[in-house]
Amino acid sequence: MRRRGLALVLLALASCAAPPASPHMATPRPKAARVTEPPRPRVSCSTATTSPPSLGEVVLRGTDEASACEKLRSTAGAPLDEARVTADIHTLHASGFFEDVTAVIEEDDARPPTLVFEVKERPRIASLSTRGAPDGVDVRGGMGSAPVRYDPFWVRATDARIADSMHEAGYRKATVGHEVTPTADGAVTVVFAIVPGARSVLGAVRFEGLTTAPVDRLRAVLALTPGEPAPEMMVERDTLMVQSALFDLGLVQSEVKPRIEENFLASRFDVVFVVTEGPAYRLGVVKVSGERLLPKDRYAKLLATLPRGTLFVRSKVAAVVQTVERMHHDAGADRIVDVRTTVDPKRHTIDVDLHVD
Amino acid sequence: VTGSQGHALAWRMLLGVGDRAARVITLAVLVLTTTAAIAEAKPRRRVIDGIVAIVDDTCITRSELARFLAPHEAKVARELAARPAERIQAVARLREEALRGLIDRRLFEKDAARRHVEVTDGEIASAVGMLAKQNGMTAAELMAAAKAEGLDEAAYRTELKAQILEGKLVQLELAAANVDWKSLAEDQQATKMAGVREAFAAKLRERAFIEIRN
Repeated sequence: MRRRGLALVLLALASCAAPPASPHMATPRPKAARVTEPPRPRVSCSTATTSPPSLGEVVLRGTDEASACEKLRSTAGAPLDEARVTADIHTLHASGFFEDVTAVIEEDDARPPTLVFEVKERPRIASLSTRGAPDGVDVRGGMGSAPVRYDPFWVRATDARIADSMHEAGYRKATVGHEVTPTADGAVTVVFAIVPGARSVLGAVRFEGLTTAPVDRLRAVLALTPGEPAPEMMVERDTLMVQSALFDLGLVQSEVKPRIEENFLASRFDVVFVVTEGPAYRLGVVKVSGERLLPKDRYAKLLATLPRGTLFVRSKVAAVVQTVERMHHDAGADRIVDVRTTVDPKRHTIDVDLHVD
Repeated sequence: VTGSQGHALAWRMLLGVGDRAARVITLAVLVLTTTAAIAEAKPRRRVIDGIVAIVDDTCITRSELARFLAPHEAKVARELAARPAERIQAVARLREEALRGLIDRRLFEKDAARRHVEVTDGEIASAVGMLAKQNGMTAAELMAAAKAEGLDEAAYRTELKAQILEGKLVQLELAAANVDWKSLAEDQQATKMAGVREAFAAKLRERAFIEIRN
């Protein structure tokens, strides 16, 4: 009761004292048609056969969508359970049919209390279409399986998916917005408006700042291909791959940043990976620690693949870790190997402790 | 004498008016009493929960906000017991902060799911042990102290889980930003971490669909 009292105080405060949300958080509601429906439709989800203080009835008010009752956990005949009510609000919202849900208890002296979920239906989507897609580019895949009701989150996510499709097709600067228009019968039409911009493909990939790392080793990991589109996601992927390749050359403090250079031909652009190598690190002491270890000679052969003084190659260390874990698994005791490293920035060495947990 | 005849007779006697005037008065009285009866029959209505914010495809409810707010609100109520006007303002501010906190928490959870970052029961248990040790308490005493602050054991573990998850995500951001952690003093580490956390939360908010309802 005390909590409810506090919650009510909070509600009173919220209605008169809560400050407006900041611009980036306030998302305007769609221009959906108002649903005017006196008297409001009502669905009875369950009716009690027991006496008070159990719920006499659970009702959805504001819809005739009876299927929404099916997943409700609140039932007539059971006492009011506020945790279930909260779960039901989540369920009703997640169904995609309703933009707002309020749970209300209605009671009078003559009947057991009724739990009412007052819902506001989302407008039905009358039609979905796109405008501005260039010939030969299919953006329908970005629309996925469309909901029956207007969901602003889905529409916004679809903007992003269509934009991704455009970028993958080589329209790097394509932007996508949407127009939602109410229809006379309370539904909405949704149009995704695409501004494609010019199509451009990758001209060349270059590296800057390399002093010791062989450029061929780095080129070998690239997925970017000259003459093909190079969406941002692919540039990000290749940045990580180049970084990983540098780590395998002992350059554990290296940094890689991509730069896009517009070519003098508008239809082409170059990607430049700017590399700061830093010093090359070598292996220091490599050991296995922990409790309930296997006989030492089981690890010795493995540790011999990581000799002291050689370049610290991250993928080699990772391979040894996997082998140790597999050895323990095969011995009937699953263990996790926690790799503990100690970096000596003066001597440029890394000690590795494979701690078996 | 029927009911309406009785009413008319009574009014005529009381006011000394004619039949027609009495009928009008009787009708008005009947309308009034019937309306009052209907008003009495209308059930009492009590809102118990509702949606206060939408975060992408999920929602935050009033009860979740109240639960999140309860320990903080209790503290403010204690501290500003003698200053009710200040207390009301502080609670309103607190509510806004709490809602933002819950929204961020929801965004962190979604990002963690996307990156397959999880918090195990073992991690929560070791956090409980560590916090108990730091405060010179047993785990049971720590739970009792949390309960006194308005958090039962389940709520306290949920709170810890959320904080550990947030910590893991912030660590990932720090790693991605190549922060030379060891070169920073303790207070610099705290400032850096808070800055990275805020920048990360801002990035998630920017990408998300958020709607706050008053």
